[in-house]
Amino acid sequence: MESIANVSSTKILPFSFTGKTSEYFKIWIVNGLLTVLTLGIYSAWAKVRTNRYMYGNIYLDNEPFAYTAMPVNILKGRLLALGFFVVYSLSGQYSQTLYIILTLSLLPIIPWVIVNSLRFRGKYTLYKNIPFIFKGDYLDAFKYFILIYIWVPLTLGIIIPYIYYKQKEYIINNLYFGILPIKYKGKASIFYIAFIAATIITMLSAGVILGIAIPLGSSGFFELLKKNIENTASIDASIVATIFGIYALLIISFFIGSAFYKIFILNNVISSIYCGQSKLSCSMDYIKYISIFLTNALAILFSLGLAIPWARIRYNKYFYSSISISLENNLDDITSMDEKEIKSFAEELGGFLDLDIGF
Amino acid sequence: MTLISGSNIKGTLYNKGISTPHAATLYYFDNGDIIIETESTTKKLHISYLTISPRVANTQRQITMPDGDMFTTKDNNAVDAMIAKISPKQKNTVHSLLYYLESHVTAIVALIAVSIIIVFIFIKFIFPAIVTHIAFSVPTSTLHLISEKTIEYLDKQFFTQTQLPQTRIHTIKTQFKEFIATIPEKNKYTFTLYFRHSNLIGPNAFALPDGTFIITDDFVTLIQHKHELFTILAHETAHVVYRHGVRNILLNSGLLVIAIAIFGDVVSTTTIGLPLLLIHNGYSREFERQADSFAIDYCKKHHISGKHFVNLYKRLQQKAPVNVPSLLSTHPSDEERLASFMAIEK
Repeated sequence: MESIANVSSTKILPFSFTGKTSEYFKIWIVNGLLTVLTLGIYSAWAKVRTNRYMYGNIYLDNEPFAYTAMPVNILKGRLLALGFFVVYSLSGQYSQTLYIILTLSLLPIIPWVIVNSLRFRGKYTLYKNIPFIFKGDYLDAFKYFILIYIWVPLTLGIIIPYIYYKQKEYIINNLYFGILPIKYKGKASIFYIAFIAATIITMLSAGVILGIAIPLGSSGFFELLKKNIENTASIDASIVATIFGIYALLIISFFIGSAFYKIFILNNVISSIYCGQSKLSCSMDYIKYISIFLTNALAILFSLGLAIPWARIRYNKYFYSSISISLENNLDDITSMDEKEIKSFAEELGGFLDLDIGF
Repeated sequence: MTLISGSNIKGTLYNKGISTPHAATLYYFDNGDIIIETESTTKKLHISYLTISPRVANTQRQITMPDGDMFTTKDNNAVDAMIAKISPKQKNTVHSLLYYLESHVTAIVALIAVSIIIVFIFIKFIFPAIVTHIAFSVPTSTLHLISEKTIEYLDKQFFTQTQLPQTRIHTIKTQFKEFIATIPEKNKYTFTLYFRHSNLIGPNAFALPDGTFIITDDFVTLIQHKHELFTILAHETAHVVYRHGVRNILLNSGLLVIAIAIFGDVVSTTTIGLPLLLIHNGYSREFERQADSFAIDYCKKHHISGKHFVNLYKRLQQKAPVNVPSLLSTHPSDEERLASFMAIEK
């Protein structure tokens, strides 16, 4: 009886994405043109309008998300980043010491920029009038985005998947939806499995693809190669085509491997996220995802980029339709975090700049 | 206070800091008053206190109130109608113009046309004009520095000492001095001639920004007449006095900076690489034309036949043939160049 009661109180709600290519294409092309005409200044407005469109089409429980940042704050952040970049690249020509100082200063700056942009993005992402709050502290960010890399040479790189795991954990565990803490309960082993499996899949698919392609494509290939190496002055067009073909096939197998990695991580990480008591789950299909990934890439390539809006909408539709939440909390009863509490951690260590820094 | 007909908007009201939705209706009146009514509450305030989010396609709008409450609605047309009727001030914002652009295909086509024209004007006229202005304000000490570094680099990478006989060097040097004496800008730059040998570079002569000329042994052996040398020197002198070298550096790096600033987060540098190369080669061809016409004027003024240039050029072509399609080339086509020199006598 109790278990039945439990099941009935748990509601599984799907996410969905309602964006349309016809709408987004126009937004995208106007963004591109105005960005060119304003020498890049419009890019801040472009980002806001793109995010407003994308977030505004993500639905959960019949209610969309919202992006409410002001373009001016993004523009200021970009100018700040550009200013630093200009000083940084010019300094190399005039003063070697200044260049070294600025390079070293990047080490403490990078985690600060990461914390700042996570706070910014959370603050301006609303769902049902409730913003997301990022409470991560600077020292932890310094630890997981800078200091931890000392271990890479010492462990011959074996620690790298663990680093990615700690970074994901840091970002997600410090997020709050209103007063509801968001928790990541995944394991580091997932990242190791993803790395190893993706490597094996890349090599297997490369082997299969080349195994089929080479005997089929050109049996005389090696003869040709030998002939051309002896006579480098006139490189045959067919050999260039063959090398290019093999190269393209290897890229495809690398695509398949990295698509596997991405989907495995997304499925597992999202499925280990709890918002309050409610668990998220993500179940993308490998074949479907890889086919979307490859056809999107081809469409973008052959349309000289004009298919980008179509590809993004298509991907988002599939991605969000694969996510659901098994609801244990009442979504209509969530309160925002106390403003004093938000301020207290925002003001530690240099404070929170209400700017979206970087590109 | 009169209710405007059809002046209500259905939506949801959220109280500050809580996610509980209340089905609500927003009524507006021609004096700008707003009433937002739910089953249990009524809020009354003036439209000037409301912050209405900009319209993006048909995504939900947020209307925020000073007390932190928020009214959301998907009825975008009704919100736009309300703004148009009772708050024209909020109507003509940048964002409403953007929405107009994003929802009208003809406006987008017009914008594409305008963009193409403006980008063309910028690349063809405005940007080169700015660069020229900057190039002519570069002090000669900087020109020296650039040239010194260039020669240091070239000597390390490509050049060895000249293998020409002393007498030949002496003749060419004397002819060089004779030529420089005829150049009006001779005191502005330090015109000097360096002889170098290189198997890699082959027959070539070029000038650095401060007036340093470098001529390779292979090139000297091609020269059969004093005036042949003069036509080439005149061409290279133009590059110096028009500051083509500095302009080239500025055009190249400037274009790259602009392109990265604009497209940096959109596409990779490899995609913009080819268009940049084509634009840059266009500037480069323009410089070569300018240098040729300077040389032609020089020949006319000093009664030198254009045949000398043509003869030398043909010998050069036999020794080092180049065949590049004109769009990819940094120089104008051979036919075009030779024809303009042949026209001197006419």
